[in-house]
Amino acid sequence: MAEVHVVGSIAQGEDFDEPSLLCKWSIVTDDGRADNKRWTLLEGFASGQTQVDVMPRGEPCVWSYPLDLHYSTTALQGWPKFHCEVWSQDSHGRNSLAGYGFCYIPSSPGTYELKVCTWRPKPQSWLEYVSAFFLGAYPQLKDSDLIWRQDDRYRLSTFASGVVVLRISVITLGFEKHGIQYSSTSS
Amino acid sequence: MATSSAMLDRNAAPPSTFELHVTGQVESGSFAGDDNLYCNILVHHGIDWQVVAGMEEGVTQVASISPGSDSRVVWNFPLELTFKSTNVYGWPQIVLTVHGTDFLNRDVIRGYGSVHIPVVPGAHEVEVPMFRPLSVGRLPRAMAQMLTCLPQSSLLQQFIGWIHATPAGSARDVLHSCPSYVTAVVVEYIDPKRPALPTGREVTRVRTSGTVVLKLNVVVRNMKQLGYSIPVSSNLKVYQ
Repeated sequence: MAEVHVVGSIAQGEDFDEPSLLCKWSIVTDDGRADNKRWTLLEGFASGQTQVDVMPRGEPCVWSYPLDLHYSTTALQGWPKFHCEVWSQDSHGRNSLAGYGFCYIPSSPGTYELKVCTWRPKPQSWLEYVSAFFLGAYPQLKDSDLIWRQDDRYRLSTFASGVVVLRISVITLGFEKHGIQYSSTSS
Repeated sequence: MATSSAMLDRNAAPPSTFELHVTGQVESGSFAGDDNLYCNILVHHGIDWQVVAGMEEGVTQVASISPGSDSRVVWNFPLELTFKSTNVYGWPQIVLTVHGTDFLNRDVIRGYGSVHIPVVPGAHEVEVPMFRPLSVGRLPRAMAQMLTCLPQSSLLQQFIGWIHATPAGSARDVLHSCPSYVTAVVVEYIDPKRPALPTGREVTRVRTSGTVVLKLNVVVRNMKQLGYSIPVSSNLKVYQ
C-alpha cells in the first residue's frame, strides 16, 4: 500500500477571452470505474468549485484555491487525473462555458507548475454561431466525462481556450519500498 | 531544545513524527493605489499537525508607500515556526489578511490570501495573490443598475460608495465599469481562515486586489526516515 499526497493550489486562469471566471474541478481516479477500485481518497476534497473572480477581460483571473489530497493506492494504474470546467459569470449571475481541460497529477515527487490548456466545443451550425456571438451561449458537453475519457472524441470539433494554472507539490509514501524508481532530482 | 538533543542521539528509536521548520519574513505588499496597510498573519493546519515553536498569529505595523516610489509597502515582518506532524495531509498554510484605513480612518479589508508553506526544503520567494470578496447582495446590485441608467450620476455613485465605506481612489475600481464601482461594497469573511479552506467558495465573488511577497526558508526533518519521498530540488518544473 503506497500513499500519494497532493498539496498546492489552483492558482489562476490565463488567456481567457471572457471576464469573471470560475472553475469547477474534480479529480478522477481508476478511470472513473467503480469496479476494480485501487485508489482510495483517505482525506481531503476531490472536487469543488472556486469563487468567481470578477476581473476585467484579458487579465489573469486569480482563484488561489487550496488543494490538499491524500490518496492510498495498490497500483500505478488509474493514476489521478485533474479535470476542470471554466465558466464565465455575467453580471446577472448567468454562467456560460469558457473551457474544459484535464491533466494528470505528476507521478514523481516534486513541485510543479502545471498549465492545463483548455478547449470548448465549436458551434455546430450557423445559428449556433450567431447565438454564441451575441449571447455567449457556447455549446456544452452533455457528458462531462468526455473531458478526461479516451473514447468518443473524434466527432467533436473544438476551439482553443485559455490556460488553467495549477501549482502543486506531490509527495509519495512507500513507493520506493515497492521498487518504484524516481529520477535523481527527488529522493 | 528537545529536538537538538534527539538529533545528537544516534541510537534513538526510529522517528514517529516529522518536523517542518520555517523561517522567513512577510516582506512587502503591492496594492494599486492603496496606502497605510497592515497585514494579519495566521497559520492554518490540519488536525494531525502541531505547532511546536513559534507564534501562530501575528500583526504587522501599519506601512505606507514611501514618497516617490512604486506602490509597494514594506512590512519586513519576521516569521519563525516549527511544526510537528504524522501526516502530510493538512500541510500548513499561511493566511494573510491585509487591512487598510479609508479617509475616515475606518478599518477596511484590502485583501485576503493564502498559500501553502513550500514542500521543497530551501529558500523560496512566494508571491501570494490577494483578493477581496465582493458583496452579492441584491440591494447594492439593484442600486447599481438603477444608477447606471441615470446620466451624470458619478457624484451620487461616489456618495453611495462612501456610505458603503468604499473609498474612491483605487485605480482598479475606477477602471472598472460603473456597477462594480458602486457594488464594490467592502465585505469581510466571518471566518478569517476562509481563504485557506476549499469549502464554501462557490458562493463568493471576489476581485484581485494585489500581491504580498513572502520570503521563506524551509527545513524538513525525518520525512525520509518515515518513508516519504519529497522533492529535493527547488526549481519549479513547468509542464505544458
